[in-house]
Amino acid sequence: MLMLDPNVRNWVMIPITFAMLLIGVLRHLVAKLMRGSATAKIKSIQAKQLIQRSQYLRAHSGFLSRAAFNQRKEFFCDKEKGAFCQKVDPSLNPQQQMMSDPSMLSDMLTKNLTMVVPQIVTGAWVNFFFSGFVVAKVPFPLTQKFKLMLQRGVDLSSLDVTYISSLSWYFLNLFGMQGLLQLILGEKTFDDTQVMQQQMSMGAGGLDAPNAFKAEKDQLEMMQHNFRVAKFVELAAK
Amino acid sequence: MGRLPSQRALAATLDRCENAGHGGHAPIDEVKELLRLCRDGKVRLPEQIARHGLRLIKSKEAKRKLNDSELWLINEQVCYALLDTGEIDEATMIVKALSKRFPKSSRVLVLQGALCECCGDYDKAEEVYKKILEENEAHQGAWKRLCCVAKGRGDEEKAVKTLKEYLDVFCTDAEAWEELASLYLSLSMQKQASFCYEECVLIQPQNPSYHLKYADSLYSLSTPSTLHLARQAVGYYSVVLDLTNGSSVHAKYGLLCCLDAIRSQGRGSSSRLTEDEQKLAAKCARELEADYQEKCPALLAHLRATGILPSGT
Repeated sequence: MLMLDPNVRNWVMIPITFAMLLIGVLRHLVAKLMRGSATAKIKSIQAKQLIQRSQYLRAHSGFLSRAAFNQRKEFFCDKEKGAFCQKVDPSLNPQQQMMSDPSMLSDMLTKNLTMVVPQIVTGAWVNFFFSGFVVAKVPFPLTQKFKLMLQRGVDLSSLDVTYISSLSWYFLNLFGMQGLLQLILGEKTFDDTQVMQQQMSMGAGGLDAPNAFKAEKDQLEMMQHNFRVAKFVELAAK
Repeated sequence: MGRLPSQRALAATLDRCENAGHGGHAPIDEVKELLRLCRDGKVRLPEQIARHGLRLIKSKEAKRKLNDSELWLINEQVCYALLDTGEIDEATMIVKALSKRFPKSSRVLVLQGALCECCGDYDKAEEVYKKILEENEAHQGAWKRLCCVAKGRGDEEKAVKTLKEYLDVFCTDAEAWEELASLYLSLSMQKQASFCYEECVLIQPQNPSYHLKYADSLYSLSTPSTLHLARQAVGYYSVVLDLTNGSSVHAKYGLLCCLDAIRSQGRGSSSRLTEDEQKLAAKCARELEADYQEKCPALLAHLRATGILPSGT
């Protein structure tokens, strides 16, 4: 048995927990402040809607008569006036957009800043002041595998797995504080996992309008139209 | 027709609120549930929401029980209901409270615009909506309201122009296409209207009402020289019958009218009905007569007098 000094509890464990909680609240408030209103550009909405409309046309063309279908096909694919044959604004290409519009980059930066900077600072703070403490003991037995998780920063092979080091306590707080924060701040606080997902999907989010237009136009030109409504007369007569 | 579970829940809650005990005051939890269901399902029950919601907003007990964000949501919802029922004084009070709490919100601005519209102050309303669009050019709500302002003034051509600009960007909004179609119809522009209904059908082919309206417009466009339009209309009415399991009386009437027109107005081979069409006409006439016989026998004579029923049935 290892005797844990109450001073360690008072001066290491509680301060870490308290600091993490404060930082969680602070981060929530800062993120709320910095969250700019994401107003989409009208041009990119228009491009997306055009593609959607053409997809609807392809999917449900059976409900249109030949004349109506050709009229719409012309609207999209006409060589001179077709919506898909216009010169597309190059800014709708995501790569170009990144170059020409620095606000997107700064947006990403501020988002990361609110997430990453506090983590680095608190990590360094804990590492500098509180490294090497054993702060708590888990009241139930654990397998050896947990050693890596619970005893980061304390490399003692003889120490029982159930003891928790200060650095590990910090990590447990970092990831486990969400529920407590939700209680304090109400729903919809920042969730680390959600932010990570957002960062992952960011690349796929942008629309590459010129290429998408071309692909959509090709498909529309290739498709065969047949008027299916006439068949319903037969069906209804039965 | 079977109802969805959410519809049943709404009906039950509404019933409990309407028929509550202690002097007609429904308990707060029930009202809260009713408002939530209406919000989630985008149901518009202005009278009930205005009556129960207003009491909820004014009661002190609710302020304790509800959390802040939900209370503001309820404020917005009740405000729209009050505008619907025309209780301007109460609505003005809520708009003031909301503007004080969220001075920069475009949602509150839309509400202010709607309040101006309700008072008949269209200039002010237009100004408010234009201001929102300046901030965010892709604000759908404000754009649509702007069209409604034009319509409210009776300036249909301007309403059409605004809506066309809107549809140029948001071209997959079926409801907007439907609205444009009815505006065109009020200007007697049948062809343009039927184009709009075509768009509606393309976007939501599963919705029978769009097929029905498109078929109606095709039928009214058909003349003795363009009877193929009436034939197309027959097709769309059949689609409606297929989608509604043959329960649409409107579609049956439409079918019989179209087939009657083809038979009586066509020349030579174009007036001949195909076998399917004859069978369809006979079937619809039979079903329509049976419906009338069952539900309202007094009107059956009038149905027969219209002369659209094929002879020999």
